Amino acid sequence: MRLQDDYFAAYRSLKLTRDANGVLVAEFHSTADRSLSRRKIIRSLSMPFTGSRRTGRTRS
Amino acid sequence: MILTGAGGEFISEIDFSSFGNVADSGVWSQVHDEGVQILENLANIRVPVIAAIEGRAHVHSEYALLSSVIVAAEGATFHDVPHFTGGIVPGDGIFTAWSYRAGAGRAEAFLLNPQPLTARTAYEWGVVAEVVPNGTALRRARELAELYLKAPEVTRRNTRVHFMQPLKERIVREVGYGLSLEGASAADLVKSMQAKSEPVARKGKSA
Repeated sequence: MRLQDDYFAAYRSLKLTRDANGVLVAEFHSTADRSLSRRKIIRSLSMPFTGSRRTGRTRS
Repeated sequence: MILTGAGGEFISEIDFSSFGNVADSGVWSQVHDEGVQILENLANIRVPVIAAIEGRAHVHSEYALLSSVIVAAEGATFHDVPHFTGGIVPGDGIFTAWSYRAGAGRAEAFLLNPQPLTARTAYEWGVVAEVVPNGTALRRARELAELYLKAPEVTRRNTRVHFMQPLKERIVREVGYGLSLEGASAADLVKSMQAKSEPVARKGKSA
């Protein structure tokens, strides 16, 4: 998780935290800018739950 | 998983300048590609997703509508600031998400004449599942998450997958096309703005 934490600390668009129960909280910045949809950010949203069961048109 | 916003808002504003020249085909091609992917990736989250909305969800409210359940504070409002009023097509998935959740008629009227929509109205439209006192949306979302966590992992995952499938199919069918239309309108808007500013610039030079 360390690398991911460092990675997201560098971005203002999205902050990810996980609570003691394992619930991931994704907090968007109140101002949307282009970085919100950058490839690495958008990958991060589904990656924690995607695992090996990827189906559909996921291209990330 | 919980989707929420910072500082008592969901997403309230947009920084258009961060997008660069949207009339440039290379720029829009990237916006198009990333715009499709962010929605597909939200749709591909394989656990129940709860949106906790406080304040303004005035930009990219479709991200919240890709949640399984939306908990909104009494003072929360939904809106579409960046598109039709600003001169561009609401093609990035906001129509797809709103028409899926609220019905096409409501979605079209909402997006053609965007006005802040209260949490209570969104509840009546079936978009919001629960309206809670201001400042408590995240807490309520955590309570729901704890409740969902009591179900087995495979059940949680497969229920989300099943519930999302119809919306996911619409996203795959509609959002790439919608973003192409949005891109054309954005390029046209830039062109008309440039045309308006040219005579002023010329006048400035000759003066």
